Amino acid sequence: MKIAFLYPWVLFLLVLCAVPLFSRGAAVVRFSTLALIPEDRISTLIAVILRLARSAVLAFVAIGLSGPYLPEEAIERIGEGAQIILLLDRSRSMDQPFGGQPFKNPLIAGDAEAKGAVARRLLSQFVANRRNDKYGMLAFSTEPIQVLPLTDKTDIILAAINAGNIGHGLSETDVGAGIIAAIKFFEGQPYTGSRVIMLVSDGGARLNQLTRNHIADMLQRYRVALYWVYIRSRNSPGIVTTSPGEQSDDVAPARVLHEYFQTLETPYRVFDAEDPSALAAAISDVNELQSLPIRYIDVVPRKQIANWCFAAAMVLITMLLIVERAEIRRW
Amino acid sequence: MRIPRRFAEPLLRAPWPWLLMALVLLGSAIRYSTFRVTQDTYRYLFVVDITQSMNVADMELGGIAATRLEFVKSVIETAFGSLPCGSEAGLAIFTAHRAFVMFTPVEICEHYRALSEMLEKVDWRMAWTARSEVAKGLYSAIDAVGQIEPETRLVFLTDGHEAPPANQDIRPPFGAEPGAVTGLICGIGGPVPGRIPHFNDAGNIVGYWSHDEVLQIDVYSLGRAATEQGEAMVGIDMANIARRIMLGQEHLSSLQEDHLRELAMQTGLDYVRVDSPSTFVESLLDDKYARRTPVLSDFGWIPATLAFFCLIYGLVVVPWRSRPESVIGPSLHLGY
Repeated sequence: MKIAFLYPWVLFLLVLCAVPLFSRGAAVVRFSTLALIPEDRISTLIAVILRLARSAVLAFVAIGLSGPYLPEEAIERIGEGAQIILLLDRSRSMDQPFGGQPFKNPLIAGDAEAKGAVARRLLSQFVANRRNDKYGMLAFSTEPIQVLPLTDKTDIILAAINAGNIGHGLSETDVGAGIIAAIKFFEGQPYTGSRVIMLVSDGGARLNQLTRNHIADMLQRYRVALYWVYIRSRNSPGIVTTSPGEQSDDVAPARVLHEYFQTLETPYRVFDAEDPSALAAAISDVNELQSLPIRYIDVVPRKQIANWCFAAAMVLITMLLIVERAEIRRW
Repeated sequence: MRIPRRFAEPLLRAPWPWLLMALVLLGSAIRYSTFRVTQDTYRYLFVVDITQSMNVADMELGGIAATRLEFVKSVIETAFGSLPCGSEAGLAIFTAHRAFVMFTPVEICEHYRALSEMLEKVDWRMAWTARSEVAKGLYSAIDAVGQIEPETRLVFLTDGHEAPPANQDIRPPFGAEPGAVTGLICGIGGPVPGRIPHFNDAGNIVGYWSHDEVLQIDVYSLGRAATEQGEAMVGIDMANIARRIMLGQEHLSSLQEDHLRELAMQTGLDYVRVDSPSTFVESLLDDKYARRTPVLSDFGWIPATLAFFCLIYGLVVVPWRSRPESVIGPSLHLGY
């Protein structure tokens, strides 16, 4: 254990601590002939202890004044928690109303909750419920934009989710580029625990075969599970419909994307934002994934120990006071 | 009231009153020493211009040539380390015509690592469109600051290079109230127009923007693209178009201080030219951007220092003063 000081220059006061070692602290008792007093080992020992105690009192206070602290320490712990990349759709379509809410007037959608707002609300709840995980965040539209590196500080993650409330969405939706950029978070990182990409999107995008292969390949290589929180657009048929009839890509691009994700060999789950229990399911689902404990570095913050020094000094002072009261002043 | 000497003297001569006083003082240093005080902290949203003109290498970092963007990242990093703890910083990027907020302000000391890691990742490749409409970007940044917590100040770092060029007569409207959001426009870049590099996928310079690759005059002056190409618009001076295009220098970029000063005046922000990390930090630490926040501060050192003096008096001075005067004269000495 290392001790560091905020104001090391105060330690020069320690020089003064040596003085009681050489001076005599006890009261003066006049006595005619010192020679008559026999040498007493115990008395000598007590005298030495008292001198040491006096000097230690000064030393403790001086050290306490110099601001001693135990520096912050990185301790490797083993615990539970996943590495989760939040992949948030910031395309223009996310500004449009969310499909899973009642509309008073089907023609007016102005005051309805936007898909993006629903997504951010769900993500905030998710993060708030899983504070032990590490998060990274990407916003994607035409280009993926990294918004946060992998971090375990929940405040900054919530700040990044919150930032999505400012301004409109950007432009198109390129889900493929977004997923690939999200997987790249794990490039060169040691595999310390379950990895999840949490895609939050209305899924209005199509992937070409090359991108599909690339995604499947990379998910497998980096052992990443894909979770899709599906935000349904208004008047969209939804993702898991078994309605017969034409299965045109144009009618339901999200369904096509879903079908592709289902062919992945890596874990894939879809959560429908309309379903109130979906969020809880997503939260607990990550728990099931992480079958293996993860190693993580926990930083123990620096700790001030000045008060301990002062307390030690107080104990010694009390002792000295008792001793002093017990002193004989006169024979 | 004077304390009679015969009471005062023995008290001063004996160590115990001093020890007792030290005990009380140390006790209060441990127990009753934290007080709420106000401290100046700051809350900034840093908006970084990531348009291509920021890739011009006309800045200097530690004696080495650096691009404007590298320079900006470096000065913000310095600011993260120099602002007092309790201050907050958020990060946004500007390209095209708007600011994109990456995260709203968070405390800088606790999040220092995440902040500087993210700042490191800011790159011109994040741009979703290759345009640089500085005035509109600034307005949207002001708008964004207005939407996050109160007392957030804007720090907009840019070279002021408008691409496509702006028309002097037709300006984008500024809707907000001037001065409602305060903060700084920081001018980055050199006075001499520099070439704007082209990069390949690997990030290496493969050339520079040339005269005929960029719009040399504003879109209004080019006229309307109607049935007849380049039809003049009412109130727009279209004289000498060919000549103006020929003389255009828009493929080169320098710090547009006049433009930024004008924008600052219009929006009620302050303009400062940033040419070193220290000027940047100095402008950020200006009192007028500070917010007074209550923080718990430990004043234990005051009673503890007093206790130390009491102890020195009681354990060093008192014994020395009361050292036995030589009552045993040499004549009386027994010689043991």
